Amino acid sequence: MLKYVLENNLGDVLAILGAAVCFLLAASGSAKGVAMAGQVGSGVIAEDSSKFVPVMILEALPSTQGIYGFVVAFMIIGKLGGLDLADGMSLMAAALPAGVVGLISAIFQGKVAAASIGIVAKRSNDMVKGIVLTLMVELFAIFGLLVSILMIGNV
Amino acid sequence: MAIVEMQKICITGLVKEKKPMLSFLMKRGVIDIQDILIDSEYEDVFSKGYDRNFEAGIDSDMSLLSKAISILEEYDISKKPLFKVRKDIDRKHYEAIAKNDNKIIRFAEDIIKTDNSIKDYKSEINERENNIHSLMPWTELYMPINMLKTDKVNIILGTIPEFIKPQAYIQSIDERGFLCQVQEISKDKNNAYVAVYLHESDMEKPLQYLKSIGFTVLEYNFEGIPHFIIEDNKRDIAKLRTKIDKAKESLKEHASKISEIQAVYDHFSISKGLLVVDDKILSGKYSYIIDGWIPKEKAEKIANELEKNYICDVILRDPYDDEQFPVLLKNGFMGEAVSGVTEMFSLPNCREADPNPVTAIFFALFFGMMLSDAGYGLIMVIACALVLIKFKLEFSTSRFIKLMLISGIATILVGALYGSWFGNFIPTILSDTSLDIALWFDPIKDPNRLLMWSLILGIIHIYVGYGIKGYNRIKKKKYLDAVLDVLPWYFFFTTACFMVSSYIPSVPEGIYNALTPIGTKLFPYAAAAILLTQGRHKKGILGKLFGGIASFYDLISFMGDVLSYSRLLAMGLATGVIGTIINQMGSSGGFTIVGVISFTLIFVVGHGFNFAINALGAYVHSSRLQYIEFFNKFFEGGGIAYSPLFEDTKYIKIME
Repeated sequence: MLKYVLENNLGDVLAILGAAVCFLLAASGSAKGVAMAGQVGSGVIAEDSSKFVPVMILEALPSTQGIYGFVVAFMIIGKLGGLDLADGMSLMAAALPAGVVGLISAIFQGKVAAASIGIVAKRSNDMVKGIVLTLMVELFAIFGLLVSILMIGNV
Repeated sequence: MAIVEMQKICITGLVKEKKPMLSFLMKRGVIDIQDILIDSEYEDVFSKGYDRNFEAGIDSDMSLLSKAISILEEYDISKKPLFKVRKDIDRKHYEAIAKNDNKIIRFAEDIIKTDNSIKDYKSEINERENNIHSLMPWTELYMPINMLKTDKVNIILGTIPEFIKPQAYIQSIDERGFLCQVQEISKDKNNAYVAVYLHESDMEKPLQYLKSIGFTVLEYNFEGIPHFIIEDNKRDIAKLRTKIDKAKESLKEHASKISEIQAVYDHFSISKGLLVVDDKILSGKYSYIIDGWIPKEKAEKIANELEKNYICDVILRDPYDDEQFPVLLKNGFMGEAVSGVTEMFSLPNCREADPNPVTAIFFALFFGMMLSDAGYGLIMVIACALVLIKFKLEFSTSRFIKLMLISGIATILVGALYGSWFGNFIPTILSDTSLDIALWFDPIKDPNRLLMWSLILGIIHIYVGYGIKGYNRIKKKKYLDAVLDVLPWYFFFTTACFMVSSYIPSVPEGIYNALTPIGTKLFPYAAAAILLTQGRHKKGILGKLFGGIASFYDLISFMGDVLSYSRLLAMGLATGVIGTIINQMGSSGGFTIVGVISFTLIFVVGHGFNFAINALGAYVHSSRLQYIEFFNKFFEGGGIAYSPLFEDTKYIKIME
């Protein structure tokens, strides 16, 4: 198949592969991160249901990586249509930062979010500190998205 | 829009007037009473503290009342407002209720008793139902269930498992010649319920035989014929049900009096406040001393009132230069709105500028850039405005709604600039997706340009932070520090930004061609300025030098801070892209009836979800930009909140 792609100069296929991988990685990472935070959160809510709102906020934080993967996939899909091989490969490469960094940072952010839910469980006034700690991890996913966007913009 | 100035107030008066004086102060609610330490030489003259037993009494009354309130809340069918507020109540009315506190407590006790009786009735019903259940198989047994013996015959009740087909065995009993009769009364899925009649003279063998086929003896504690026992129990249950209904009915009637119980609850919490404050007041045999803080604008008036109405001496003074006083913020609409966000970080201390007015502008702007959709903003503004106009709100709720209102306005502005009204809803409806309605530009089409503006806004935000740092220094009359801690940094960061301007995407060529040489030329001077000024607090020439060198590292953290504002692009883009995709999905049905219905559905659900997740993101990320990038530059924090002695009520608000 690869030979066929190369011979027919089908950059679109590679670009779509890039979009797919990017979303796949980032969204799976978010799913894992949110799930980890959610499991801890349900335990806290079982003890004290009034903490639902802060737990929910913290649980939602690792979901952004999936959104970033989505944005990058969307931007790549917007470029489709008769791409040559070099552009296709570039787009596939450009998808990687948002995808890979998204995967890893979402999982780690999920861990911090789960630990921060522990803060909420013990002292609900310190929720903000937990959020700030969790958002520290987010920065790298944002950089991943940014690098991807800058790359896509130059293809 | 600032931190309210405070004055120290010291009141000395006669002990016999202490109680009325304190409740007068409580009504005014302006003095933050401070704990006075007793000098050891006056220990036998003055004392602090209150009667703990009395407090325990109040606590137990309060827990009784709050239990009654929570019971009645279940039966209160009056319409509840969307936002919980305290009820306004006239002081005369309140005092009339408070006078009857004993009556209300007895009333509350009755309510708890009624509620307990409902629980008792329910458990009795349960018991009766269990009786019925266990007797059900014996309905056809028309003899007293506890009569186990006639003159010659013993009667034993029990079960035989159904799976062994007991009928065949029961028939075979006759064939075996036992003096025994087995009567099947009823059967269910698992068991046959049988009565076994045994003649006295021949008990053991038939029983053994029956046990070998799985017969289990059942014994009951009932008197009489099962059918009638069941009837009795059913009658009892009906009676208990009517009793429960009656009790519930009376609770429903009492529910209208819930506000009186709440008023008395608050009456007790006020008395508790009055009692507990004695822990901070020096009381002697004849006189007392109160020490506290009072907002300067109210000080004179209160002092006059006190001296006119009570035999006491009032001394007012301004705080000393290094004295900490409690912090009360007074802000306009914007500053008040964001103060909740700031307080979650920390309260400013009493010697620094209140950052709220400035924070409010940036918070709303960044929120708007991250939510970035005029349609969502419009909904926020309408909803918040309606809530603010229609509902009475407590302070903490109203300031949050106000924050959402200004954030919504910013969202509309930014959304209009980006041309995003529910994503690309307008071009989609006009079936021309290439239509550009942006007042400025569409970030989906040119993300690099928005990235540049995000970073520029970040630089402005950080510079404003440094500006406030300088202002704080001036406030403390450290003029040299004000200049040296701020200007060299502006110089340094600006030249650095000029130097790297060509690497930032979408900066026009003409501009960076002009800026880069200026930056490169001036950067060494700026670095020298930092080197010379930033180590000035260290000791020795070497110390000063190394202090200066170490502070070069701040350039790295400045770069990091600025890059962190790229989230303005990321979050904004996410909202726009998802909104566009929702519209694309919705419009794929075309302009038919089914198409329009599916479009409406997808539009409402999709945009609802997009709004929820991105508004949450915008809120937390906008807060974070304030906490880490902005406050870090100048905020000292650690202020102690001004908490005056006031009528701290939960349910009612006493009006004069």
